[in-house]
Amino acid sequence: MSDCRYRVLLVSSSGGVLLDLLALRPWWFRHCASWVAVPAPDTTALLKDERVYWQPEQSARRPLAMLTAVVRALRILRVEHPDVIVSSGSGVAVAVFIAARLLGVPTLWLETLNIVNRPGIASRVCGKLAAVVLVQRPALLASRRRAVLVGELY
Amino acid sequence: MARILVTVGMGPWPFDRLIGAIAPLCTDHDVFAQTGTARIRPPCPHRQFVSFGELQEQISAADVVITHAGNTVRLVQRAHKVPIAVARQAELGEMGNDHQVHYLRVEEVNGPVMAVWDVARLPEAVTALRAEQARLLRERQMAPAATPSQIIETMDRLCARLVRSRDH
Repeated sequence: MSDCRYRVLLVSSSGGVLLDLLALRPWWFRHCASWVAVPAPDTTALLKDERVYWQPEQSARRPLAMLTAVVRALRILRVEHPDVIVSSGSGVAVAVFIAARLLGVPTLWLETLNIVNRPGIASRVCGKLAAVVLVQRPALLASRRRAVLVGELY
Repeated sequence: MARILVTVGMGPWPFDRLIGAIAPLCTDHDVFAQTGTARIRPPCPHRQFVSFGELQEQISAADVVITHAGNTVRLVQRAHKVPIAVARQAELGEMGNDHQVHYLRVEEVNGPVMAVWDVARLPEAVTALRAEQARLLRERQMAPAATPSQIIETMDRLCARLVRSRDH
């Protein structure tokens, strides 16, 4: 990190969605980045040098747990004061995006590469809450609101 | 005998159907399997998880990569190889939704990939791949990946816009 122009909060579950955010590293490394992540073998190994708030995975099928996750996310956002929040998935991002909407923090939803048509529920909720939906395929520009093409990330 | 890498990604959903189907390959080939949360142990060298760096090394070293239809498909293709891909299915408890099925249906038409829908046919897919790989790589072009400078430019431009509109 060098000029720290923006405070960036990156939010990730385990799996391929983490690779998408790591592919953005040339960008977020130039700013002040912190993470909300779900503990798993890949996240703990790949984020070992990052500042991380470890949070459990969430599901729309457990609304009470989601509610408490939103409260925890509000606390994190009040400590971190991020300028922007970026996530590619999945359930953990829903709570953070709801908290961000409540506090007026802009969010960017990154559609992971192997979503080719109708996405899952986390993506649909976060896509609606997001100020910008980043897509990796030109074909998705027409079907996503506020979509911006970022190109294939890897 | 081929050097085969099998990988099912790092996510929490078990993919027993794929790991259970590689046993015939283990007798005829040099197979290493990254099994994730699968409850089945294949009769060949395997580990639950490998580091991302090791996965990339294993992809480079393998003659054949068999993978779930996750983002690993693109990692293999970017290494100038044609992956054999099997989609996780929600109704079998292999994923929360069927996005891998939808993705692989599109990718098998347009991209350098060999889709396998019946895992009993994995051995013949391995044989077919060795004959078809060069043609698929030649005929199925991928979009180039965004460069680091393009990523920086896009993200900084968006952030500037969002922060500006938040402050007004």
